[in-house]
Amino acid sequence: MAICSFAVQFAPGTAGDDARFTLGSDPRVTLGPVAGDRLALVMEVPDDEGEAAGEWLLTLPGVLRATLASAYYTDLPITACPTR
Amino acid sequence: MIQLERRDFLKMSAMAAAAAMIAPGTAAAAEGAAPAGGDGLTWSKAPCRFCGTGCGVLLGAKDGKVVAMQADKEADVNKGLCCMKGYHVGLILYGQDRLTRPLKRVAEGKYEAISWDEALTIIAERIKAKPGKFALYGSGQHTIVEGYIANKFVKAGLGHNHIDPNARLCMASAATGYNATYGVDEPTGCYDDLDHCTVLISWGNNPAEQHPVLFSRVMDRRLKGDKIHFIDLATRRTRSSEQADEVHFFAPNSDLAVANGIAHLLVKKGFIDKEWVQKHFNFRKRVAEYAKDPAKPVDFDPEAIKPQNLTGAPMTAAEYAKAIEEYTPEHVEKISGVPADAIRRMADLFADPSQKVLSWWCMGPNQHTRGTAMNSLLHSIHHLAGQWGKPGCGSLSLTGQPSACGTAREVGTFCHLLPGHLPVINPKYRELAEEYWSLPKGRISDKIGFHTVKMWEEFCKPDGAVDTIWVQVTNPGQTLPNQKKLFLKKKECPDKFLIVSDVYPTATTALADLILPSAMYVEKNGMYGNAERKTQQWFKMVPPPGEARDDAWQTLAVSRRLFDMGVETMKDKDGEWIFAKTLKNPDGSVPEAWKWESYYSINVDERCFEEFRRFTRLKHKDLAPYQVYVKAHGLRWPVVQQPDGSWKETLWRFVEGKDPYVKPGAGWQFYHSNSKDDRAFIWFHQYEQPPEMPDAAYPFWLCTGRVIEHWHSGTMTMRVPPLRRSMPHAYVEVHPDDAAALGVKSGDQVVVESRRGELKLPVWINGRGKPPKGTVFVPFFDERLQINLVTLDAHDPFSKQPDFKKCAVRLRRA
Ligand code: SF4
Repeated sequence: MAICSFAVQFAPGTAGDDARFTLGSDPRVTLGPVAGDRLALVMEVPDDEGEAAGEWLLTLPGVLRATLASAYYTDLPITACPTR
Repeated sequence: MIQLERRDFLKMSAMAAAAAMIAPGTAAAAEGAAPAGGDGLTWSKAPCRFCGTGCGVLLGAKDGKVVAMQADKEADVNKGLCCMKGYHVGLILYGQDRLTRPLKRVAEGKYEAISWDEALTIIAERIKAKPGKFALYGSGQHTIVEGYIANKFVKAGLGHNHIDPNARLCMASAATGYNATYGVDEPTGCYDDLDHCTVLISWGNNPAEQHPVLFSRVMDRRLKGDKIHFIDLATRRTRSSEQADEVHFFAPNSDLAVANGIAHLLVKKGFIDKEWVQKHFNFRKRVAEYAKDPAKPVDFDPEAIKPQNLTGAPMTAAEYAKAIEEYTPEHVEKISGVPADAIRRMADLFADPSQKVLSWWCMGPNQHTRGTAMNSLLHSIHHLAGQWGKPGCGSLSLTGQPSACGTAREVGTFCHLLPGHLPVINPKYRELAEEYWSLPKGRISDKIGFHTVKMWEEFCKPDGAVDTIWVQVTNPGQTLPNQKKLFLKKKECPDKFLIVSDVYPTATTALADLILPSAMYVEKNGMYGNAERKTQQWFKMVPPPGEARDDAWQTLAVSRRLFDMGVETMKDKDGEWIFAKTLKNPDGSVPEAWKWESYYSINVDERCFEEFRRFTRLKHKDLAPYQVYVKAHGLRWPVVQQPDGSWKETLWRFVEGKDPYVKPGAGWQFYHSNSKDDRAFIWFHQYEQPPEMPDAAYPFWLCTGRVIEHWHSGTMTMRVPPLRRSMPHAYVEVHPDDAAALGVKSGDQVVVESRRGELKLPVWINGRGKPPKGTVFVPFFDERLQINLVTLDAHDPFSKQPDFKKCAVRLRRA
C-alpha cells in the first residue's frame, strides 16, 4: 500500500459539497484540515492503483484541482520493470 | 502493532504536507501533524531529476534507500507542487537492471565484466593513441561539476574542443536566440513572470504535459479569480489547448510568419517610434540575403556560417518597417493558417499597456531549422511592443533537461564555449581560461570542436575524424535524429569505439564497446541549474549499487591515468596534473580523488565549483560560494554579495532596480550589447519554407515530442511501474479523416515512413493529442518504437540544432 496526500480544491455550490461527501465516505480517504474551498486529504491505495489516485480525484464532478503533496513508498515493493 | 503505529505516523506526515499546501501555517495546526524528520527517515533537499522546471523535492531515506518523497514547500519554483513524474522520482533508482559492473564487449551483444582498473586503462590507451580523434558527448543532465570536469578534461587536458552536450538537440537555438539579441545567453525574466502576466502565449508548446508544475502555477491563479487570457499557438491540439481561451493551429515553420504579422501591426500602430524603441534597441537582419521566394530559401552551407554572423547586419527603423510591410494579417493567414483576426487580436493585446504579455516556449521554436531566427523574433516582438522589463512581461524559453542551463550553457560544455559561456574563438577568453587553469599559453584550441550532428556523422563514417566517443548521462542511440545515419552506422565501422557511462542498459549501450556503471541522482553529490537561472545543490543521500561510480569520478580517474602515462597535455604549466590545483587541500597536499576510496574524503563538487565560479563573473552570471547553495533552496544568478555579507539573487536582468549591474538612471541597460551601446536588438527574419515539406510521395507532416508520464527516452520513467502502466508504449496520433482514408481505427498498426526510415506503430485517434488533418504525432520515449529512425537531421545554421518537429512522412496499413 502507498500513502499519498493531496491538496484538493472544490467547485463552489452543491457539486463541491457532493465531492466532499463522496470523499468522506470513501474508506481509503482520510480528510484533513480545510482552508476555504481547499481540503487536505490522505489516501491509502494499493501499489497498482497509486498512479490513478490523483486522476480519480479529478474525475469527481465537484473537484477542480487535486495536487499531490507527498508520497511514501515505504510499503511499496521497490522493484521496477526493465524496459529491455 | 508497531506496523500500525508506523503507518499512522506516515499518514500524519503526509497530512501535514497536504495541509501546508492548502494554506500556509495550516500544517502546524493540523491535528497530529508530524514534524519533518520525526518519521524515522532522513529528509534531504534536491531538485527533481527530470525536467528543466527544477522543482524542489524532499527525499526521505532509510537504511540506504530512498523511500519517500515530498514536494519542497520552501522551493519557490513549485511551492509544494510536483507532477506525476516528480512524485515517482525516488523510484528511478531501483530498476531491476541497474548497471553495477564495468562491461567490455567481447562479441556482438556479448559483454564480460571487468575491473574499473582495466576499464580506465582501456579508455586511457584509446585516448592516448589518438587524442585528436576522441570526443566526449555530454548532457544537460550532467551535474554542474560533472560537466565542468568533462569540459576541462577535453579543452584543457586534450587541447581540443570536441565536447558537445545533448542540449544541442534541445535548447541550442534558445541560446543563440538570446545571444543574437542580448549578446549574452539565458532568460532575462524568470518564473515569477507567470505570477504577474495577464496574457500568456504558448508558441508550439504543450506545458500542461511538459512543464505541468509551471502550467499549474498559472492555472491556479485563474482558479483564484485572476483573469489570464491564454493563447495556444500550436501544431496540434493538446492538453494545454483544453485550457486555452484561443487555440490557433499554424502550419509547421510558419511561426516566423505569425511573429512577423504581430510585428507588422505594431509598426502600423506606430510602435517603431516609441521612446523605448529609440532609446534601447537597434534593428538587425540576417547577413545572408533572403530569397525572393520563401519556397526556395537561399541555400547556404550551415557549416560555413561564422559565429560572428550571429549578430547580423544593421538596418534602420525605416528599412525594418519596409521589410515587415509584406506581413499583413491576410498574408500571414495565407502562409500559416492562423486567422487574420487572431493576428490582429494578438497585436492589440501586445499594444495594450494595461496588459502584461508573456510568451513562453520550449522545443517548438528550438527544434527548428530556423530556431535562432524564431527565438530572436519572439524577443523582438516583446521589445517592439514594450512588453518587456516589467514583472509579467517578456519572452521566456523553457528547457527540457534539469541542467541544460546550469551545465551545458553556464559551464559551457558546448564545442564552441569555455566555462561561463565564454566563446572559445575569443583569444581574450582563451587566455583567461589558461590563466585560471594554470595552463601553458596556447593550450586551448582556437578551433570550434565538432557539434553533436557533426560529431556523430564523423564517428559513423569509416574514415571520419572521430574514432572514439565517450557518452555520459545521455542516450544518443535513441535521441539523435536520423538514427540510421547518425548512430546505427557505427555497426559498419569496426574500428570505432563507443564508451557509455550510464545507469541502465539503453539503446546506446546496445552498441557500446565499453559500458561504465554510473551513480545516479542522489547517489552522488550534485548541482543543477534550471530554466530560470536558478542553481540548486544537493548532497549524496544513498550509496550507488554494486560498483557504480560518479561520472565526475570516472572523468577524473581517466584524466589521472593519462597523466600517470605521461601525456603532456594532462599537465598544467607547472607540470602538475591539471586537476591538482582544483582539488588541493589548504595545506597544499593533493587528495587522491582519482582513487574511488578517496573520492568522498573531500567534497569534489565544492572544490570544482569554487574554481568554476571564477569564470561566471565575466558575463555577469555570478554564482555564490558553494556553501550558500547548501543552505538555500536555489538562487537565480547573478547572485551578488550585499554589504551585510548576505547573497542576493536576481529575478529580472537588465532592468534598473532589479539587476545589480544596471547603472542608476539607465532604466534598461543591455550591458552585453552586441552593438556595444547598451542596446539589444529587434530582429527581422523572413519566413522561409522548411527543408522538407509534404509532397505527393510523403504527404504528411510528422511532429515528435514527449508525454507527461515519461521523461525523454524513458530510461528512468519506463522502469517506474506506475508510469509505465499509465503510458506503456509509443503510438501515432492520426486525424480521424486521415485514419478513415487509410481505413484504420485506434489500435490498428500503421507504418510511418520517411525518406530515412520507417516504424510500425499503433494508431491513436482523438487520443491524448489531436493533430490537424495531414499531420501525425509520435512521442519518442519508447526504446522499442524509435521514431528517430524516421526524423530528419537538418539543422539550424547558427545553433546546429536539428529539427525534430517537422519532416515529411507517409502512412500505410501494417
Ligand atoms: S518532472 Fe519537471 S515539473 Fe515534474 S516535478 Fe520534476 S521538475 Fe517538476
